[in-house]
Amino acid sequence: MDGALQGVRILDNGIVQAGTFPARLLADFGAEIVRVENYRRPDIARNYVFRDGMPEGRYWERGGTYHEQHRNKSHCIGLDVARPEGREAFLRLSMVSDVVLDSHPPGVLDGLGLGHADLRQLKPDLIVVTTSGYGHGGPYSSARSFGMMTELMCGLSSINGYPSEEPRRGTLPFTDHETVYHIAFLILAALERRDRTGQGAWIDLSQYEVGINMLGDAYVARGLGAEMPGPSGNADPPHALAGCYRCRGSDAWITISVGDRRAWAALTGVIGRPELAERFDPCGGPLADGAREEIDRAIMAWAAERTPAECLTELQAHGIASGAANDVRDLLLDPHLKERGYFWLVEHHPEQGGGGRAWPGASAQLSLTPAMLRRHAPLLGEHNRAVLGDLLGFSDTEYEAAEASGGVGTEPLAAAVLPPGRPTADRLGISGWGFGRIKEFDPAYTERLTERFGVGFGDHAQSTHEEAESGHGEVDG
Amino acid sequence: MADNLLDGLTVLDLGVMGAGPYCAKLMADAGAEVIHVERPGTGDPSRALGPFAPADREHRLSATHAFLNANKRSVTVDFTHPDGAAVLWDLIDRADILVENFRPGTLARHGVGAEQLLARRPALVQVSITNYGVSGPYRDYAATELTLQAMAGLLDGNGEQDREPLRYPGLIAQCMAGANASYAALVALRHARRTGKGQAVDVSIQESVASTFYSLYADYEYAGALQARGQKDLYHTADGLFMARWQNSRPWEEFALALDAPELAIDPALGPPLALTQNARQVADILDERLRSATRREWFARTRELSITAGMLQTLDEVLGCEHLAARRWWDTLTGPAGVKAPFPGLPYTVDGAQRHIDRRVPDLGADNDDVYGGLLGYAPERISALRATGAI
Repeated sequence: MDGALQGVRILDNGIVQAGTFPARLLADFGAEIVRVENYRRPDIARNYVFRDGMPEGRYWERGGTYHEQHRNKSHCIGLDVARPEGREAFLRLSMVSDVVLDSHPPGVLDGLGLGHADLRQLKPDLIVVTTSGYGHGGPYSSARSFGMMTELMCGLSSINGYPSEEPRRGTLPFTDHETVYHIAFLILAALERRDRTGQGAWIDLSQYEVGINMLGDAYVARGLGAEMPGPSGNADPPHALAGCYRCRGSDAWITISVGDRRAWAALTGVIGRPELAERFDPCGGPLADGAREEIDRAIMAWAAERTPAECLTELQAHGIASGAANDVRDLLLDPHLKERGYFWLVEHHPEQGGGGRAWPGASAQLSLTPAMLRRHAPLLGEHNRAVLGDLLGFSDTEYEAAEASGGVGTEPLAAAVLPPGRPTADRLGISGWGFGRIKEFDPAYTERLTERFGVGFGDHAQSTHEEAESGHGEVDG
Repeated sequence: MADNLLDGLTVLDLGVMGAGPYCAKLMADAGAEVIHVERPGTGDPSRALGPFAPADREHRLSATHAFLNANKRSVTVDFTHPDGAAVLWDLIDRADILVENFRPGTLARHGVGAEQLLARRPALVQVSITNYGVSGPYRDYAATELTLQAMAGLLDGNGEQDREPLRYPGLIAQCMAGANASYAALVALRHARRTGKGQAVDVSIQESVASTFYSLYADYEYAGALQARGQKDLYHTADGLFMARWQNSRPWEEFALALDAPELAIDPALGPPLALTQNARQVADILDERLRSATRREWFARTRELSITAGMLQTLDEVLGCEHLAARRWWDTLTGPAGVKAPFPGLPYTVDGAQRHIDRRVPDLGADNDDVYGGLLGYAPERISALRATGAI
């Protein structure tokens, strides 16, 4: 079935997350994506996550993140655009694309004569979308940045944290996550204008400025002279009483937010403390000293005897706003998301092995042209010959010359150097630097996920791995 | 003057609070004509949310509402009133995209559900943003920004592992859903332009947020690992917190020397790969001590010059005074009641090298009733008066 975006071709020269994930979002709806990578130094997002955390063999083809970010992308070519043949291939591909998406630091492509001005001089109706930490132009434009840096810069972290404590950042590279949707929107908006007027466009996005916009209410408030609180914990304005309470289980929590007297009365009933509703009125203004602590103790005592799911069911039965603090395991196993068909089982490329893994499917459900899983992520340079030959018109001789000169290729320079294993280093209980600490290893993860997603989950071709996993299963019981 | 990206597009924004209005805001900022349809009397609840300026004792200008709804047109319709429903349908007849974020089924109960909409306007793109989507067992769960961030997995990554997880500030989950909806709406619009067929777009706030955790799912599905909460690689400087991260495309020694920590370059145990694994904490402690010798801005200038990936934790006031944004002439200006002026976040992108600057003004509730009903819909003044009298608008 054709998708809503059939006929749109995107040259995806993005890296890591914010720069390339938008192409994936459009691929889910049928856009044709030709992914371009510097094959000598492939995208660092290929460096995680490997089965049991261990990179091995052609590791750059095996990382889990790569499979999510590049599913549904029909082609991948490996280029070295510093060489004439590689540059020529990039240019010719731009000329037959609707959109060029790039997230290298400002100036990199321009320096190679492949910048937005160069490309649009040759093809005025081309849409070039560039995204970086701070945008083209201005004193910080050259600053190297990831989403976690722009998260600090944009002010978010300064008001994030436990009340009266030092500000902090979370573990996600947050502005990346916000930015991807904005870029996908802008690509389509630019296509809308092109179809209306025939004009191409150069769209240049700043992640820093996206981050500021996501806190736009706070900036307008501050600009108007309102005093802004520092880190405010789980305060949930305008709801008078909000908090996160520990439940039965490991790292298990329920959030509750009470905005009116009806909900307050209901909550005191659910936790078996109706007299609290007579003594305190959190919705009627500031509470007396010690009252909030007493209320929190009562909720904590109730929550401590229940799992988050049990709390959620009881609270929702009384219409009280509440939510479990899910981690990704909770999400993967969640019955609601299962019924929604939210996760898709995505196969690795057959040559890579690795089996199927579950990933978020459509970020939005369209009734007539739903997002669909069309294919697995391509290998690095898998379509070099197909794209250069069939699509770009390189003759066999030209193609072979491009290969011989290194203008196209499939083997990274650092092929022999494995990146550090991600969770394995942390398995020792050590705080990794670039990588997250691990709160828990779940030895039964394969069993759980196979039960949820069926036998298509995991790598059933790997017998040694299978044995190890079934051993875990017995322990788990 | 170049055309704006979405000139000529008409969007009917039935949104309340964050998600719907943010979606329509992105479209308005890109040039679309956005008509914000509000309930007579109270309007969008974000009008009462604040924060308000200390001098604004009558609470005339809510910062949250202003940010989300400046430069939209505001009309009031009570679509539970039969005359109001007729007005709403007239508005729908002029719209390319309808955005709403009521609880699931609300519009259908008033005869404005997906089927009725598509029957009357086959090419209409109808976007519903809801807490958990329009189907599934949690469909009708009561939720707020806090509980949605929790259910979507955001809380789990914020805070200390041995303490309660933390909500991110602001209306971030709602705004992410709005941004997701803006892209999904244009996917459907493109299809409608080509085929004449509109459709319903179902956006769940929970799913909008949970769709972006790329590596966390991988950790669990490939290795059974669940990431811990906790703050990593933030260092104290003379005046606040700073972050710097080595990229393996540059020499480690360069990184060590740039941050005045030569011992990291000398002792192999303090270089990669051990610096990234077993000895990461030791390296972090050294950097945390060394960076105290200078300010964040000094470190940021140095790392910028040496192409080291870094950033400084800035306060809201520092961002408001940021030299980079000043050089880019980035901020728009908001003009409020009684001529009050305030900086307003600009568009986070440029088109063809230029940022679209917008004179930011917030419509009073129903400010555009006469204009829209009289002009766009061509109602006679008597009809508008009659609608007012019955409370339909």
